[in-house]
Amino acid sequence: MALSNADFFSHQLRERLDRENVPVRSEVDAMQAGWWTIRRLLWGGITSLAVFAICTVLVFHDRTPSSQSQYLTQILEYRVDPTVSPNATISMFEKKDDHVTVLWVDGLQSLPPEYAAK
Amino acid sequence: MRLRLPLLIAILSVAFSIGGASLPEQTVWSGLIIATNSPPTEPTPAEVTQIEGTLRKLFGYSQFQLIGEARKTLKTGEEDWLATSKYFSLHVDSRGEKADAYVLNLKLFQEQKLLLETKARLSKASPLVIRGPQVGDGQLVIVLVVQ
Repeated sequence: MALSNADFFSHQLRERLDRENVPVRSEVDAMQAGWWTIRRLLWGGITSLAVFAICTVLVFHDRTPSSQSQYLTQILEYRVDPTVSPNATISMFEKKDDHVTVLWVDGLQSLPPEYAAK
Repeated sequence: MRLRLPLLIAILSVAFSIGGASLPEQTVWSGLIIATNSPPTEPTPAEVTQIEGTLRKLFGYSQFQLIGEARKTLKTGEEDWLATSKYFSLHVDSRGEKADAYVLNLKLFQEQKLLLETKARLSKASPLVIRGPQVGDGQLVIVLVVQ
């Protein structure tokens, strides 16, 4: 069957349009069917965050001391006001057998017994 | 797919609840004690009983009378509190927890007068004992313990 001029051009045009549309469709299909879809990226992100949160919590949980420290208390600084207690002297020592740290203040003004009141 | 979101929420909830439960809450007991050799008028407090032997060896006194105390549960590690008696007060300012110990700023007052200022790392395993002024025939002793 012979085609008329109009039909011929219409046919050519349709074929060309079909050719041009095919790759576009295949790209869209690839995006929808491929591994890295938006939805999967989203889920990958959420899962990574969840794993990170769990690991963080577990690490902090492990670092929490379960038993008492073996370290002794340390005195970092000490001071008496020389105008209030001009004769005061301070020394510190550790009683390692008893796990006690002592700050020993000498020379503070002695006080009458009523200062022992509750 | 519909089950995944609730599953993730459940996992996260469990993880965070484990983490929350692991945060330690410790109590610091601070006591103002008068050490004497006079006959006991009341029983030695339980907190002092734990280190009574040490106090006896240190100070040479046989009786320990509690005249003021405070018990503070540390949640953030940055709290402050006051242990008071009629004439003495101990102001404790906790500056946070470091390496299993609390950094404390301590101020001992005799009424309004600041007698002593010190900064210490109070370990959870080791009490802090401070020798204060002579009071009558006894001695003021300050004790801080993490319980």
